[in-house]
Amino acid sequence: MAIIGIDLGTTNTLASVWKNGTYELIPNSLGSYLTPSVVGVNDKGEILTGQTAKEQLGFRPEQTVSSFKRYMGTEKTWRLGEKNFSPQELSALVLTQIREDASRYLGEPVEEAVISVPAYFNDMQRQATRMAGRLAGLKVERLVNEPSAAALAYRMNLPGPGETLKTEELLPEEDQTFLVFDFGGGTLDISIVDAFDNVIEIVAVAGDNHLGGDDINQALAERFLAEKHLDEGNLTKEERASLLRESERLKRLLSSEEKGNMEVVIGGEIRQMELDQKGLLEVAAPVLESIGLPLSRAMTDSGYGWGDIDGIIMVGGSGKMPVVQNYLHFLSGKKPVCRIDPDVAVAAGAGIYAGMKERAGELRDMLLTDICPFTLGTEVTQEDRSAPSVMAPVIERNSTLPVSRMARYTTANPFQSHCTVRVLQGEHRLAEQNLCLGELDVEVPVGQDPGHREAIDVRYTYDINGILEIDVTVASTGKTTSRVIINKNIKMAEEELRLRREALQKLKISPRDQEINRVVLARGDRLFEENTGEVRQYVSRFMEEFTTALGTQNGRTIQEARERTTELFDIIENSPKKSVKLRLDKYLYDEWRRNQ
Amino acid sequence: MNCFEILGIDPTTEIRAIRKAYAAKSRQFHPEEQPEEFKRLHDAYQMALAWARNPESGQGEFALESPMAEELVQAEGGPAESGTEEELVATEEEDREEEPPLPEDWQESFSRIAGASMDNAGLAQAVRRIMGHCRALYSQEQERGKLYRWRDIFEVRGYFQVLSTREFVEAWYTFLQSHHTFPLRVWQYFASLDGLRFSGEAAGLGRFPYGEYMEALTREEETAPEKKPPQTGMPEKEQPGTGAPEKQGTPEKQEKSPEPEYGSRSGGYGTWQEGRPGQGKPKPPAEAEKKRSPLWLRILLYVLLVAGCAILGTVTGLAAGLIF
Repeated sequence: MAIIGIDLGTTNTLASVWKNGTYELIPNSLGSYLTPSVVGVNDKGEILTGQTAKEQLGFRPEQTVSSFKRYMGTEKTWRLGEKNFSPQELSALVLTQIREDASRYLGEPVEEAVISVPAYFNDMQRQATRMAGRLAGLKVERLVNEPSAAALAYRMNLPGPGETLKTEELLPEEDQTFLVFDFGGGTLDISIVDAFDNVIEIVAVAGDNHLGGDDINQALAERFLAEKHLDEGNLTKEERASLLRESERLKRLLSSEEKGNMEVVIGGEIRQMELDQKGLLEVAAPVLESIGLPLSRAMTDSGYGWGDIDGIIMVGGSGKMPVVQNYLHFLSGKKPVCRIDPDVAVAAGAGIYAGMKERAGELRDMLLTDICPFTLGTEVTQEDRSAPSVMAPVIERNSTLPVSRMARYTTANPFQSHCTVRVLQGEHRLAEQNLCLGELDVEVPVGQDPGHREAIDVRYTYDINGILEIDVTVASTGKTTSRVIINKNIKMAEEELRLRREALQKLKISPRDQEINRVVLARGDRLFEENTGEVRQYVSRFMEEFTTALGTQNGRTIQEARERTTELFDIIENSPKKSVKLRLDKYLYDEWRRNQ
Repeated sequence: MNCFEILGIDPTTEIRAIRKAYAAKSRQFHPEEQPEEFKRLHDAYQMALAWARNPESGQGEFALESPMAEELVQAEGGPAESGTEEELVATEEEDREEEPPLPEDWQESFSRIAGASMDNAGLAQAVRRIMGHCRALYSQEQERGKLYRWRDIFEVRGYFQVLSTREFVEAWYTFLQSHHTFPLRVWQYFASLDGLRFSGEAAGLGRFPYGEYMEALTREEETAPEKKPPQTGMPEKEQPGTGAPEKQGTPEKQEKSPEPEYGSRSGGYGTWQEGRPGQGKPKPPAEAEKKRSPLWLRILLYVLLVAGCAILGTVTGLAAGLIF
């Protein structure tokens, strides 16, 4: 039974598998490697996931959720239709689609997966990701850090789908230290990696869980509003959605072009903004500024200088932006590389890692060591009792996993009968500023005189599966208490998990056999909402024609109609607003001529 | 068993050899199958690396016995690393020549974004962030006298780099000039920071006159009979047997808390000690403020009086208008 690797991204989710000595990306039912991480409910109350859900983001924004990865491990819920969904459940719905697609593609049931997470995810977010996998019916024993997965994909020097490798693009086999810059839609992860022989060793990790390409979209939208003297509060929901979509389109356009245009219809009027690379740089400046701190922190923690870094690897959709690449080039003096498409590098690595987990022969000796991104410690009271309690680090951040460290503490009060070990994760000196992962209560012998102090030895063990175990031994009695730390918010009894999984399975999921046609219809619905006047009439006419073709039940007719409709919709979406009608007329005229 | 024995090689400062040995052993002790052995192997690898990078410093409890280390350094005539470092720099320069440089106007914008220099990326923003914390804390009168609140700002590990820059020191001094109502212990902390975490003198700005402010405070407190003048060492020490919360562990590590540590150090840094009570040449700002305040009050009263008269006049006028 195959183990698959899944890159559960903020924007898109991808899957891959280790097969015949290389990784293979798994296409979804639409033939694409990228499945949008979007969940929605249609007007029939059915759950939509992936591309179909993304299409309705524009015209049913209140019934569609995206970017929920940003809220992993939090209490936030969204209401879709009749039910409230947690970020874990939304992720589970996307993962279910991925699992089904993979099972169909591989011709065997898929029950286990390695899921990649931002290196900077804390323990709570990691446990939430595991939970999402389990809700989707996947056994998720191992999580892999996204930049580590990308480093693996680069180091293995394997050809991607349909490509042959040119030798000059390969990373040399010799000892190397490189920096992986993973800049996605909503997160930034920076890893410094040592690679030599069969070993890939992650040396340091830093990042920002709330910085990504989405912030540039937002900045572009703000710039647009400022330039047009518009107030965001006065926009309708649909206008806001279309503004954000146009901002993203412009950002993508500027990844390949010198100049670009965005057009948004606001209050029935077409508004335009032109932007060149220089303008984009201005807009993106605050985001670039925020890159500096995690970057210098990763460098400091690794103990390397820029001179020690042999290369910079760009990962994540936002890493494609020339502005970002040039800025890194400026800071480091090295030209960033992105031989593997930044969108798929993490998924490729997750697939390879799944192969390593299976202990596939070719990968048997490969060793990828990862580190814990945050310091783990114990809450202790200060000498000055009025001051708040502080964190005493036990496992320092950037320790290689598996790791085990011990610390000894003494009781604060001679007559105390219990001692609570509160386990903290974070970098702040004050206990309350860090994340509390859990606590363990032990009994200690009560003392007889005021000078009496009891000592306890606390051992923290963090294994390669990211499971944290605490052993507390009372020095005087030698009694040991152990506990695996699982967060109270995420922890769920097996029984409850089963019920929740069943509840998810009972949801009416929109049938997926016709998905490819549904996407076209959903896109038509969206274009109808977005446009006005004559263009709207056209959309409505094309939709009718397509529905008629669907009614024939003839595969060939449907396919032709789908291709035609897609081309027409492309014209509507990709032409300047003023020339849409002209171009549509030309297309229809050419078509008419061909049929004569 | 020392770390090199675990790695199965003779002690060496050659990083490459250590890595090779670790890589070879890792096939045998893979973390998937033998996590315990791998942990040991990895610890040994880290120790060997640390030792190889800096053979003269003993690396904690796992270090090699010092005689052996000395022998080795003598035998090899210093760390072997220096040679490889030069090579690295050389290859890097070659690389750079091949790459097309960035357009100049881009470079300019980038330097602006990155702050003054390449190494201080995001510096301006970081300084702004720290000063934002300072201002916010100062605005809370209840909180700004609490030492630990200030320590939380300055002892955050991620900030150390930022603190040592001229940009920060400049912003900090400017801040202190207009925000100076702190108790003595906070002033003492600030004085000790200057020299430990950053240095005004090194930044070419000269040392901030902490002494003057502290002197003013001491004098003020001397006049107030109930309060004792605080000593150089930190006033608060452990008070055993206080009604502390029952369930908490105090680590032995914590015993030497940072307070006495810098308290004892501050003598070495503070120029303010030279100018203790008696020779108060420069005008202490705190005192100046004190004199000024009644004047402010008088002006305020005067303004109120005038405004009152004006209102009264208008009302009388209106009333008169109504009557006639």
